[in-house]
Amino acid sequence: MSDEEITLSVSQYIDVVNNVLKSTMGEGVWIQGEIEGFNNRTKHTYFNVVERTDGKKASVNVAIWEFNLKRLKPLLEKHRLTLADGIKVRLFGTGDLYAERGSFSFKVSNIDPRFTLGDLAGQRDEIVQKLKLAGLYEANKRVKLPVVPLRIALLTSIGSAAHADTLHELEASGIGFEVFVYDVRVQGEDAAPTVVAAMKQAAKRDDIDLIMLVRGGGSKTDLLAFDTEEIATAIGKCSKPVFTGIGHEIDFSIADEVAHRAFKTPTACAAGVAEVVNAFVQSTEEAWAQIAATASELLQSAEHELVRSLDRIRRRPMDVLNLAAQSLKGASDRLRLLDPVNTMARGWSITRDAQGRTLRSAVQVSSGEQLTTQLSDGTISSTVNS
Amino acid sequence: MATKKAAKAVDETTGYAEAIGELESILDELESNDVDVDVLAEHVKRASELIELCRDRIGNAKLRIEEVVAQIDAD
Repeated sequence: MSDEEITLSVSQYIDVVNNVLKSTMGEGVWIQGEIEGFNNRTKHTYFNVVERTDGKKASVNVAIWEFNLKRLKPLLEKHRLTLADGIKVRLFGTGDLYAERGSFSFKVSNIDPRFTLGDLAGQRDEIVQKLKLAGLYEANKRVKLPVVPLRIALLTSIGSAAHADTLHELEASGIGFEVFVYDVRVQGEDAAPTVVAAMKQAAKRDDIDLIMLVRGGGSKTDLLAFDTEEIATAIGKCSKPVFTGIGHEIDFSIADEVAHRAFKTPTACAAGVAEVVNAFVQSTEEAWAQIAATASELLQSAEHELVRSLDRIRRRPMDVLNLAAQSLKGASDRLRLLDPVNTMARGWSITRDAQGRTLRSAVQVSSGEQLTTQLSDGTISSTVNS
Repeated sequence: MATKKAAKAVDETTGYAEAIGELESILDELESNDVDVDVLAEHVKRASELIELCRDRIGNAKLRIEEVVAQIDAD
């Protein structure tokens, strides 16, 4: 040991380190990594930013003091982000050693929301690509929708507003739905496994027609579970149609993209299910009305036909008989003209010889022959003189 | 010759069309120039019977039709 060697007290050492840090990095630097061990149980927020490369892990303690948190809140809200485990962040700040514990921490004074959003979008694209390659992206849309889906598996967080809204809307429809509620987490790391498990269970049941997956609105990062490959894959593989009602109007998660149908809210989702049933009811009513109308038309036209037939029955036979009577009268008139009785009445007569043969020529008789002449009112006998 | 058919008695089994057919041929024969005076009276008698039969048929048919039509209208 040399007396010239400088020995610093602990606080002096910490001051030196902190001064070096400050002099080399000035107002601060940007660092990027994934949040781990997120803790906002106190008014300050603490977590680690970690980096994993080739199996190696690097980690830095991060603190966001209350006043910075308040300052950054509008920025986060504007981009609809919340900080949570698993989220990739780019943070600006300064690092120093905390004298009391000798621990290093990075104090955040700014956050780059675009980095997080870009990362989320990138992840999302990657998952969508994977699903498309696996043939799962459109798979649930091809699942046949039952004509009357009345038995519903409702995957939601029991007790949530989404749960209440969905049940309320289903009840308000007046349709006799049978709802089987599966309690799942809709946020955080338990969300994907519980949703996937519930979906698998519901899909196996014979007494379920349709699965509803609903969750109320939240920040983009709150809804991250619905962008996970696990849930999207489960929907893609699900043998029953999945209707989603997730989050705010502007959110459209991967779960929504792969679902049979996606609605913007749980209420809209329930209304959508009711609409399927109502459409069926309406189509049957229309069909029934059509049947009734057709039957009535047929009856009416048969009745018209009958009335026409009756008219013809009333008229035609009499016409025929009158015609027949007319032609009979013609025949009878003709006959009267031909009756020899009438001819004889006009002065004509028929003369027969002794053998009763009608005389048609003078050469038929000879002198002294006895003849009989028939007149209209009797006969006379005569003898031929010449 | 249609006159041969005249041998058949005129009764309710005689059809209207048959009777009219025979009547027409008798009339045609009577109207021809070579009508035999000897058969004239017979022909006229036969034709009268046929006319009577046809009149009866028409009258009966009218009655029956009126009855049926009245029945339809009553229903």
